[in-house]
Amino acid sequence: MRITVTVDGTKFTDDVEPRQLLVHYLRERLGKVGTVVGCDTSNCGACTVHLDGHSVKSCSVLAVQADGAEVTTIEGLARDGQLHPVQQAFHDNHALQCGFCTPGMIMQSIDLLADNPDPDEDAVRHGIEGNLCRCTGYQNIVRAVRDAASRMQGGAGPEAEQVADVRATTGGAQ
Amino acid sequence: MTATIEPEVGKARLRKEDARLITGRTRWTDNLTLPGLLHMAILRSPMAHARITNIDTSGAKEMPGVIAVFTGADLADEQGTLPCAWPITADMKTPNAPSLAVDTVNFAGEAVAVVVARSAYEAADALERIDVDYDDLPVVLDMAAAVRDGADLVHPDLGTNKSATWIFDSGEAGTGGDVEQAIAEAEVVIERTYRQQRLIPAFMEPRSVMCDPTGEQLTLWSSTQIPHILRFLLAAQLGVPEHKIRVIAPDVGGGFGGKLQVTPEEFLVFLIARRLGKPVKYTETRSESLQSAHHGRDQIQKLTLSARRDGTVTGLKVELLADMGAYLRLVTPGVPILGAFMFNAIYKFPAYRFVCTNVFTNKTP
Repeated sequence: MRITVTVDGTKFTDDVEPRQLLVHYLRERLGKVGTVVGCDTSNCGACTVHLDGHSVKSCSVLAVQADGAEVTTIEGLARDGQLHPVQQAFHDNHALQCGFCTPGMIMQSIDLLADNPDPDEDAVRHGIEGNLCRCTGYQNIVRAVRDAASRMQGGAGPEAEQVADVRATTGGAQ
Repeated sequence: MTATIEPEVGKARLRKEDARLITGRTRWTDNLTLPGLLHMAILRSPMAHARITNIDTSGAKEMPGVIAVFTGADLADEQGTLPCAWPITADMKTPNAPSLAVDTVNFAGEAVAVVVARSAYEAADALERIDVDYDDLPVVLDMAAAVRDGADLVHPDLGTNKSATWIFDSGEAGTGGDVEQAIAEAEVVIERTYRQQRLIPAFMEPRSVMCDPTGEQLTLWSSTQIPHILRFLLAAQLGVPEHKIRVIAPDVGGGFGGKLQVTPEEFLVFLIARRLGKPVKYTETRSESLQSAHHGRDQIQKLTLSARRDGTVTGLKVELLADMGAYLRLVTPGVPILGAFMFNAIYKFPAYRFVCTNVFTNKTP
């Protein structure tokens, strides 16, 4: 089946098997290897990307479902050499060790902050509960997300991430 | 000129490696690709203990994209045995450990056949077309039962489920007293039995290995904690000169000891890439990882402490059964005996005896 997907700002048209997972399309056809596969049960979240501005586990989305949509991966966050505030916060707060869960954590954290711009510790832990990490024990990840929140105003990040009105989104727990 | 030295202890240090990791510019082994790369998939035994009576790969060989299908019989002459580099006693019993099972499977998850195809999807499709006939054999799961006389055997050719018994005794060593005497004379004796559960290291990055046989050297990329040891053992076990092998550990997404191993998957990718003359890559699924990557711990621990009523310890006896699973792997017999140096913790025990029996079961090594 022929699909057209805009990934990290570039439009691609390809023929794909209907059963091909989005994560495999990204990795194998487009070479977007920043997005990784960590499990086969949709538990781990390492494959998290944004589909039309909302986080999805790309192992649980078919490539054909992304036809006509905008996908943002970890590789599409930095703009003109400037890191996204969440990326910067992960570095500043030692929120990664091996780095394998990190792209998924960052993508999910951005989605969390779009819904809840000022989450407390509990809200962060619940907000990223679909992302597993074996190295860090999560403590510094939570610190990094809250640190990023304090540095971010609504609207940080690339065009495809813009939610119409941050205040109009249903907020999470404060 | 006098230089002032600023104190480094207590200063926060930012990491140097984050730039690539937070922007997705990573080199996990599964990210790597080569022209004409072929993909390997593994058919694994669902049986914990069985004789393989027949394998029919004809259906798999006809599947689209399939280049080759191999069984243990196809590789019997060259696969040798996976190495065990830590013989803890002179009389340790070590079973032959083929990368691809030939006659018998000894744990659920053991590799039985491999498919090589032009894509990972096509390789996985072809696995479903391989027919294996198994004859059930008795399954050994309980260590305590496994060491009793008359127990079913994991490896009948070894005649026992006990791989080795390693003993340290301070009385026998002359470095301390006799622990049985300490216990007999003690005012207080405490006995406890603990079950240390089996655990899975569960690194976030599934294991992956790729081999390029086309250069002056065979180059192997593996998500491994031990690239140098792996290189040496590929040479030693498979008969290729060391200088003809290059092993690269690119980015590794967690190990936790679970990638401190010389694995069937690495041997198979190496052998098959060499045989086909083409680059081959294998990346496990999480389910495969949980079932076939080596597990940790799994011990029955009986501890006996003798002491005076005022709390002064006089003796410690440690008796362990340690589960090796179906095969010994690179250092698996040695890991439980490290406990000999740890059970006494920070205390000076006048008498100390540590006995560890490594036991085979029909479980993941």
